[in-house]
Amino acid sequence: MKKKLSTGDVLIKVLTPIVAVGVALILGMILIALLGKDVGVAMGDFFQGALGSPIRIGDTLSKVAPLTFTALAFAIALRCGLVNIGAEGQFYLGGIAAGLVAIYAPGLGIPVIGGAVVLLLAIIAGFISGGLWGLIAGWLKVSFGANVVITTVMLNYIASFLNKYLIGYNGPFYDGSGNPQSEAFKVSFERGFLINGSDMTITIVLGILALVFYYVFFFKMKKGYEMRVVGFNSTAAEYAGIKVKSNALLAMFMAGGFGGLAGVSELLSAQSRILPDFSSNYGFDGIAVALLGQLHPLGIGLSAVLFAVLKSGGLAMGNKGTISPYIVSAIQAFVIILVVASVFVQDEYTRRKLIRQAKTAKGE
Amino acid sequence: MVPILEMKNIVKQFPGVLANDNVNLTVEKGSIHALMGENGAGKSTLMNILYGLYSPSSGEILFNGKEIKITSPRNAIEQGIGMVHQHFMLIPALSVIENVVLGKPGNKTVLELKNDAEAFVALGARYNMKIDPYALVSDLSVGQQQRVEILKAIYRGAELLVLDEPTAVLTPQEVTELFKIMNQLKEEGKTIIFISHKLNEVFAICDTITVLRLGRSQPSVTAASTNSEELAEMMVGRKCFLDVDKGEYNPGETVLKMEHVFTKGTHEALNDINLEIKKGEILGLAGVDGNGQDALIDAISGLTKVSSGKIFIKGNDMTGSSPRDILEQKVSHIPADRHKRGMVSTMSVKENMILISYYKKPFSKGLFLNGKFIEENATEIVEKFKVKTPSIEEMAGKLSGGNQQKLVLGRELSREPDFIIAAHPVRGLDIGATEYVHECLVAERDRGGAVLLVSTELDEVLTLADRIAVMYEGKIMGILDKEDYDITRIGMMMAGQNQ
Repeated sequence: MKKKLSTGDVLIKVLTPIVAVGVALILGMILIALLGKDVGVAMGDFFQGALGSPIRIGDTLSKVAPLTFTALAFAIALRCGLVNIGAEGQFYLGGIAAGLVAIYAPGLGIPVIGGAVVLLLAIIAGFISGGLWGLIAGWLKVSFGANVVITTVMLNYIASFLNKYLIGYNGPFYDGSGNPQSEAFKVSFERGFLINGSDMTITIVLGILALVFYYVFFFKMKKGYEMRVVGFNSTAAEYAGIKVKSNALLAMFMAGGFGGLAGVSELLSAQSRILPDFSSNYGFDGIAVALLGQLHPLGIGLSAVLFAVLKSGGLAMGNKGTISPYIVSAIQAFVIILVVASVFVQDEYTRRKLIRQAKTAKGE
Repeated sequence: MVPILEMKNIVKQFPGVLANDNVNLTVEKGSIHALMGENGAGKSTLMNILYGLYSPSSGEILFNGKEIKITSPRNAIEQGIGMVHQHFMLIPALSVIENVVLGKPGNKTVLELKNDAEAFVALGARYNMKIDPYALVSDLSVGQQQRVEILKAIYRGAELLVLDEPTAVLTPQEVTELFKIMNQLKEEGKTIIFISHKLNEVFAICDTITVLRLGRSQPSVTAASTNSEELAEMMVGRKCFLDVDKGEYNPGETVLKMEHVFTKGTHEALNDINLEIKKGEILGLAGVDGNGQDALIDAISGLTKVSSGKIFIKGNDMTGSSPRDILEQKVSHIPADRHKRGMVSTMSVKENMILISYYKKPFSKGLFLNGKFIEENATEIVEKFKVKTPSIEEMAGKLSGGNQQKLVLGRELSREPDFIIAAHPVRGLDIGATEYVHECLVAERDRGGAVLLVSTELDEVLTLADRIAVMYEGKIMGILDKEDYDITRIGMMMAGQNQ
């Protein structure tokens, strides 16, 4: 008694996001043309920059891990019915903790054999700090009923300013160089993973493992089932004897932890010290990635790749100086709007199909 | 004489559902016309079309012999059609008169509440209704609110009044009052469409009866020319048994015992509840909705804490225990609102089947769910309880109401419970599914289970229960043994009187 998806069902699920992205790119081109720029040149820069050579592809793929992690930060919380807009702040906390480990742990007599132990510690520290940051919002929710959307957004600001303070001129981790920054990391992930000379690191493997964990946790494990019940229907969960509050707390800790891992993977892969505003919007891009991927692990992985392309192609257009990077943000906004719209297309498809079925059943 | 209303060949197509399929309804002026049918037969759809909430896919409506288009409820009111919904459309925070003038045609920029209030009170007096126009709706009883709704419709000039299951929320005495008002309206030449599925009420008050079944109208009959069996058959489409076969009443040891239980809360709080339910019996809990039945269920199932008193299940003190510890005592629960409490409509049938037991062997092993057993279990329950579903992977929310209830029932009864809490277990179900649910509950009783049956349908309680307890404002007014069943007395107790 397996449920059979018709070919049409599968097609519509796969096609709508692709069409949405295609239309967004076309709108982007129109926008570029309206600004009087050469569309061909701009698009050439875009694809050349993102996918023009193996190294470029590697550089692009290096953005997949942080995008996957922030997407999971959003997706995990949403599975438990909580709208976590706080991946950006969790990203900062995770990055700060991991950065501090990478700067100071080697001096504490922790062996630096290939950096592995320190990196492992950095990952753990990043997960826990991001998790605790998420947990604040969870705690405010279960204790006072505070809206998670609002508290996580607030916590984003706090995290960003906390970072600015810590590495600022009066901050404890200021390196005294005259610029607001920390000391350089003594250990970081080795670049050139899989593709020599690129920015890719082993974090992309961690990202894939995280997606596998996400799938197994929510669809094969007791705790994940429990969390989904809470997310779909918390009243029924209470009836079934499931503790709603502790599930919400755990979900926010896990979500925050993955947000933290995003910070770890970005900071210790692509950057060499803690700087102000080191996130470049990963926390918010993650929301779009999760939604475009329809919260499905495979979908999240694919849309993380897509957003990585958009991000690095956009960066390349911006670096060439022909197109403002804001145009790229606008294209990304088109993608998000159209992806949301594509959900309605799918609903309409289902609705019409049901009507058709009803009519055939009546022999009309 | 021209009929006041003719609805001809009305068709209403919803996505996936043909709610009205060539329905014909003719209502004579100055009559009380019953519209009957099971849930989902299309009564509400038809009346919502009449009241301008839906537009029909095809068909025509004649009012006083002229074809009309009804574009909105406001438009319906202007043409002289009024409706009292099952769930009142009153704003609790506003006064009676503010509710009455709300949306009334001809309001000025500054409301003339005083004039309206005087006129409204005078209208009430005509029907022997005392009404304080400045009282807040939230301070009125359910029966009073209903009278306000009826008067409101008449005040706005309704010639044709639709009453959608008006008796569902009333005590037997209030029903009598309502019928008096309906008869007086009829004498004044108003026309009433009375929606109900209660046979005795229809015979008590109606002149003509139209039955809808599966979206189609059956030929109308006069009340004088038909009988209960015939109507039931028209509604279900086959002969049905209005009675249930039960084994001999042979109660065993006590399963549930409540001693002086109080809870905190505003209006529905429990007030000194003492109750015992034994093995092999069905205790029916009657009462008008909202008199503490929900609070009682929540207290027993551990969802709310009692402020004093003790609750024992099978002799164990379960006062203050968690919902899961109580479920672990082999307590099963068929909640009143299955969408909210009994199931997760966005999860599959299979996943809903493990809602209570997922954490236990053999449903899970260690940290992981046991997918193979979960599938076998779901397949077995679906077959045994005749849940109609394309597959166990289907989303539970896509099943029909009756099949959703069978899903919940199957899950709960397959746990072989010692104690079953069944709250309004047939609410919203058609006669066929109702019969099935009742058979299952009786089978559990005969097997030696203790059953608490909470229902506002007196007929259901009278048929199934071995003893009846009546609740009023958080108190148990009394418990009657089978031989003492007396509908008048139960009615008095439902209204808070016990002599």
